Amino acid sequence: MCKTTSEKDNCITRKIVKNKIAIIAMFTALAMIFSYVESLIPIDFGIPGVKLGLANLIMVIMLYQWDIKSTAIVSIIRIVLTGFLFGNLFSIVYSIAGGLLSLLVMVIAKKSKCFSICGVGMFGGVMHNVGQLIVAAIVLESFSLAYYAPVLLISGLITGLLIGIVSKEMLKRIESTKIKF
Amino acid sequence: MDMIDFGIMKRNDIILFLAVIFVAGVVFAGYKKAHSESGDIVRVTIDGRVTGSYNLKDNKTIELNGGTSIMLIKDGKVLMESADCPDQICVNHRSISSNGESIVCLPHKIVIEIITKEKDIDAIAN
Repeated sequence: MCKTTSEKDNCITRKIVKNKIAIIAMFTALAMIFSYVESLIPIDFGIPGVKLGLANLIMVIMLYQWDIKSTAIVSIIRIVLTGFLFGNLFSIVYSIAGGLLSLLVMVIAKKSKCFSICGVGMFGGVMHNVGQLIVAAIVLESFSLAYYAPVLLISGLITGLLIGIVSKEMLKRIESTKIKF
Repeated sequence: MDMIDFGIMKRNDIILFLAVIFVAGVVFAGYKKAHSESGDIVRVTIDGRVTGSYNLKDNKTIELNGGTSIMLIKDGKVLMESADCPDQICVNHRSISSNGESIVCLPHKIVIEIITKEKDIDAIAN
């Protein structure tokens, strides 16, 4: 099919792009399912924003197994689609703020090489909630949200730590499945 | 694959963990200090403007925001009885009764909080 050298290069580039798209699509679907399953858990703390953040699991794994750009794309698409399907326009704005801030901080933490995957996970969990708090504070023009801050910080911290631990175990086991282009 | 990054919990992770707990504790302490007296006023803020203050001791049902949300004050507790927002987080929120607690409805930009008199430091300059 791809005979000459220049044809081969093109073929490979197209293959990589197609594979990248497939990978991104797969992870986006996974993240959406995780998000949905998490919403089914009946535990209700009565405080908005306290949740497992299972979709963060996908983000951490992608950061360690793939690249930043793919992770960002998956994150954004996942949030928008999940927002349209299960939430509403408001939730999308808050989730994007939380998701992007958490991703940004996770990337910095990972690049700094000062933290293990558990630390990166903790950053992700905490900053996700912090991002949402900041947007809410701006929207409401009020600081009364300080009431929620301690709980959200701690819950983000603990769920982030759990996500980090689970990610580590998962990556250990799926290391061999990473598709080599 | 960089196996170094996995590792067992590094020392920095533990520092991070403790730092976040510390910050949460500081915010909590500062919060308690700012709201130390017992609260008896229920203040409703919509879109950044205070629209009403009610006594926590009264038993009342109040329509907020032109009827989109119904607030209930009963037995010293405040809760959102019903609302037409899509996520219903405000309705599912447990009832609040102490100074500083709040129920928030983001879609409608409603903040219900319990304060003490009008000298609460959260007062917004409008």
